[in-house]
Amino acid sequence: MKRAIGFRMSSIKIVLTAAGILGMLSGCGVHKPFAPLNDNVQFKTGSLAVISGDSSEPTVALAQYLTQELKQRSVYRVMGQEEIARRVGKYPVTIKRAPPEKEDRPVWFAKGEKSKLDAMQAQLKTDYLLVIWTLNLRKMVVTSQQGGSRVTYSAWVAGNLLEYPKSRAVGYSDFGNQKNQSCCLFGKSEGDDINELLKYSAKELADEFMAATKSEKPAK
Amino acid sequence: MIKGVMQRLPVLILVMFLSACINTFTPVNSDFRAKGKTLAVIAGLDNQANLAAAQYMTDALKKNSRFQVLSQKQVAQALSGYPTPIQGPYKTAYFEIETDYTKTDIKRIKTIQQKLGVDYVYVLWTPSETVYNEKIHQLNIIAQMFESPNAREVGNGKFGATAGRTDCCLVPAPGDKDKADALKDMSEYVAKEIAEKTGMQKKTATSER
Repeated sequence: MKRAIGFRMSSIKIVLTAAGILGMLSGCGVHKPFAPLNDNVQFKTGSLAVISGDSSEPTVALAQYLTQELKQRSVYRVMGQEEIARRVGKYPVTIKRAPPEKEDRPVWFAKGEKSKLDAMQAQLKTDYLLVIWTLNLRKMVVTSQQGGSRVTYSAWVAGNLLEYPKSRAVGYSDFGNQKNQSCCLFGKSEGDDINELLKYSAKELADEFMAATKSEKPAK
Repeated sequence: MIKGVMQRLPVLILVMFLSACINTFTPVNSDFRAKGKTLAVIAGLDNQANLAAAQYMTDALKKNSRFQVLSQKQVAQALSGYPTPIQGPYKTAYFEIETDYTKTDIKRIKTIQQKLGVDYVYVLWTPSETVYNEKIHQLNIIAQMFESPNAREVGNGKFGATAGRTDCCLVPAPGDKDKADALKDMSEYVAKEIAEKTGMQKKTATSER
């Protein structure tokens, strides 16, 4: 029970001076939408499934957006999220994360969790699984001393690419993005703004993934 | 002093605003009265908080209403893989729940109702938690009650379980027990409202006479 309510999907930070937010953002130096885990990795083309690493709304949405991006723009045969759910049965399930051994080349999933991914791949039979998580979805309200406030949304993305049949991690994602709240005159809701933030993160991850794997569809 | 109040004003306004938005249970038809007695509480998502919410609501409805409520163990035995995520009545729910009652996966709920063989299912979704200044934690909850056999919606609610009352620096952030207590208290409150608005409140010794 102790952990039952201890989950944390999102938070609102109310910061009274702009200095606070600037300090927080400047501390986040890593920005790797996608990179190979080592320099000798040879990527092959084939089939791929984007796996939502948990059932939280932002992760599920990110998986959907990333699937769309890669389907449209890469030469990989990308399996749809509905097809994944149909084949796997219970999807999405939580793939637990643990602090990575190598912070600069992170493998995010906890020991023992890879068997869940292997079991999924056995159902999906794709050459690659790209498992992703969103972390720390935040809404920051910055109120200035003079009055008025500014709202910024931010989210961090972690991910790993697994290659089969070798069943090994060959790539990773470790990056964050932020978006200012749209002007109320545009009539956008909070959900619309966060969806845009996640879409942007999906696009960025797809760009870097296609660059690393040389898998962008040739321009017509 | 004034500066301190001014600094906390945004949080106070937010908390007041959130408190004002509580809808514990609203029947779709104002003259609704429950026809059947059996009920199951279903977790609409598979996160730990949702499971806890379903458990507390099960306990609270057992205690405060005349519904015969299935235990969560019975629900899990009847529904393989329970809990599995069910599309809930919202467009997005990253922080605030943006309600859209047309989104609920009624087909799934109908199947659940048939498998459980109960008169009513009460589905709870806890898609997000909002944290203010690390000191005030609110679990956002949306719920719908459906009547068998066609999973017709008979009532709904949207409320929060809030742990922590102030963002004062001297007050520690709420722990897991505080959050569990907040959820328990809210479940008790909502269960009483459900019992009253469905005509299923427990009869006291005085009222029976």
